[in-house]
Amino acid sequence: MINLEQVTKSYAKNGAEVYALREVTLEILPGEFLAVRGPSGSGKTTLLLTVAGLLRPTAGKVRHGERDLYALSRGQRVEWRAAEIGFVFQMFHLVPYLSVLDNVLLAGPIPAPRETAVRMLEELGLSGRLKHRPAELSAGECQRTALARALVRSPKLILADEPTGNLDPDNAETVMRRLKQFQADGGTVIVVTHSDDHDRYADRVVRLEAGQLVDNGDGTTGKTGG
Amino acid sequence: MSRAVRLIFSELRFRKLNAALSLLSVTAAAALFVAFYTLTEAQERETRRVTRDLGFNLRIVSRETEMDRFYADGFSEKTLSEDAVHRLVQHPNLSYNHLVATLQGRYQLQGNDVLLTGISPEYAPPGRKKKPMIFSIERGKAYVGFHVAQRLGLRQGDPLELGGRTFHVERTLAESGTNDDIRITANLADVQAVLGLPGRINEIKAIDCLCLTPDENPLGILRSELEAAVPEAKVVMLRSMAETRARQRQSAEKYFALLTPIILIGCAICIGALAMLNVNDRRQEIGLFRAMGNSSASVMGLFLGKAVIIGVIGALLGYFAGLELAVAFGPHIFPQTSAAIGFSANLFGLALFAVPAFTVLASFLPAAAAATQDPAVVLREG
Ligand SMILES: Nc1ncnc2c1ncn2[C@@H]1O[C@H](COP(=O)(O)OP(=O)(O)O)[C@@H](O)[C@H]1O
Ligand SMILES: [Mg+2]
Repeated sequence: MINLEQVTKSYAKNGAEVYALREVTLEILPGEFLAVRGPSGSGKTTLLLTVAGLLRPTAGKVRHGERDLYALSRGQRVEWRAAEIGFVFQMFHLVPYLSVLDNVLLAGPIPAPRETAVRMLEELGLSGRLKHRPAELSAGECQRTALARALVRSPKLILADEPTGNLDPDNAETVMRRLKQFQADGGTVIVVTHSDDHDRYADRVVRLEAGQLVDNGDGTTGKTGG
Repeated sequence: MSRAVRLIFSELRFRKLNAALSLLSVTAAAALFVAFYTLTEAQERETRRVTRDLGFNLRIVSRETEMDRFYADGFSEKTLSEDAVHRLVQHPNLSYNHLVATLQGRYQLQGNDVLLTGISPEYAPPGRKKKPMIFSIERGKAYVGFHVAQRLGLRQGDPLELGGRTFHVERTLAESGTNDDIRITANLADVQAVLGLPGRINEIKAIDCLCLTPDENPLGILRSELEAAVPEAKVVMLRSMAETRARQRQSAEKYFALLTPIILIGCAICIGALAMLNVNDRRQEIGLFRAMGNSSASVMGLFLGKAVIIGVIGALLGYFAGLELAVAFGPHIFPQTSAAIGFSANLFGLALFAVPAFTVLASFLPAAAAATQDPAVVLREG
């Protein structure tokens, strides 16, 4: 269970406060597939980074089970992230000078076994691409590589920031289906999307607007109190 | 190969320009360091050699020597036991090099005043191997000064009668314009016999060593050493000769001491700036690496590891480039000793350790900047 409690992230901009997230309260169940929707600048990425332990909220708490994420030391958060989190980004974020296989082996302080990485890539249709560099791949192949990288260490939670934003429909389907399979294997998924194309994969869709949760997917708003 | 090492090498190959420029800066620093170091050593050797050719600059005589007589005659009337030179040589950490015992006296030879000088073979402290700086004279042989040879009509190979002994004239010397022209030089033991002073000497000639720094008082140190080993003696230094040599040596050191840091700082700035550009190029990758559950220490390790690798390669290239430089310029600057410029295992080892350490230091701030970069900032982009 992931708990966000009154999470606020604000930035000081020219003396004024800009809210990226404002008092967001949200519960994500283990094994849930959650879609986060909202216009550009509404705080979706901020939410993911906060959940990942990469961005300390200005106020509020983020809990993973019993763990108060930002009460952990930095080192403990790094270990926790290595063990439990997989990331997928819209821009893939592959390392340009590493082969597909080496990109997958980049995850975690100790690389995953090679065979696991190769199997993961084969499952995603990249068996002929192991030695290629990202520049030699199509967008779909890049994102499938990134997906293999997120999956290879068997995380508990995958955070995907607009993973289909740069993909053609076929590749987008492949990615979403693989995430769905990860869920079926017991994982939790949070996907940020800007469209409703893939809503059918999600158990629940929440909406952010200007940093506020305007729909938490069960008919109530994410705002509590006044 | 570990993942980190493979990553570093892949990155070096990928960003070739940055890698090449970094390697060039490191190599330049290493080469200049090696060249200057080698040339400074050569300079020291050269100075030592030139000094050696100038002759002795220390004269150790009996404490009872009256200095007015000493300067008037050119030698001391008072003698020491020959065993003084043995005691001096045995003194631990002696600052003297090239010790020679001599006995000089005035001698009447067929109505002519001559100076008779006996010189011992050169003494070196035990364990210290030095090339002898002066020739030694065999028993029964004599070197005859220009004026004496003329007066007596002596030629090379002639017999020469001295105190009832027959010497073989090994050489007659060219005119020197000094009292050397009335000198006959022979083996110490022979001269002791001729002058009737067996086992006696009246002077030890020496060169002080090159290991004294400018703030030390060479004469004071030499005097205290002499006090301990040969209390019955005192030392006179031919100051101008000694000082010229010290000055020569110190000016070379100053030159090195001034230029080296300037060059090294310049190279360090280049290395640091290139590393900073590299960190900037790799912001995405660093953010990703962190998001993938790697610590900031491991990011630091990647950049410093890269510095070590560039440092080692730069040290290897720079060492041989520096040596080439030294060999190319050495003979012009050091005609006497340039042949001694060559591979030095010590300097090679020093370069192999110091150059990577230097590269790591120069890359430290950029590496720290990479390690402390907030991954959230780049992961938000796009
Ligand atoms: N470092 C920052 N400084 C100031 N404002 C920021 C910073 N990072 C994000 N923001 C603001 O926070 C808001 C939410 O950003 P983000 O979470 O990236 O939105 P989304 O992913 O939904 O497009 C935006 O208005 C953005 O300008
Ligand atoms: Mg975003």
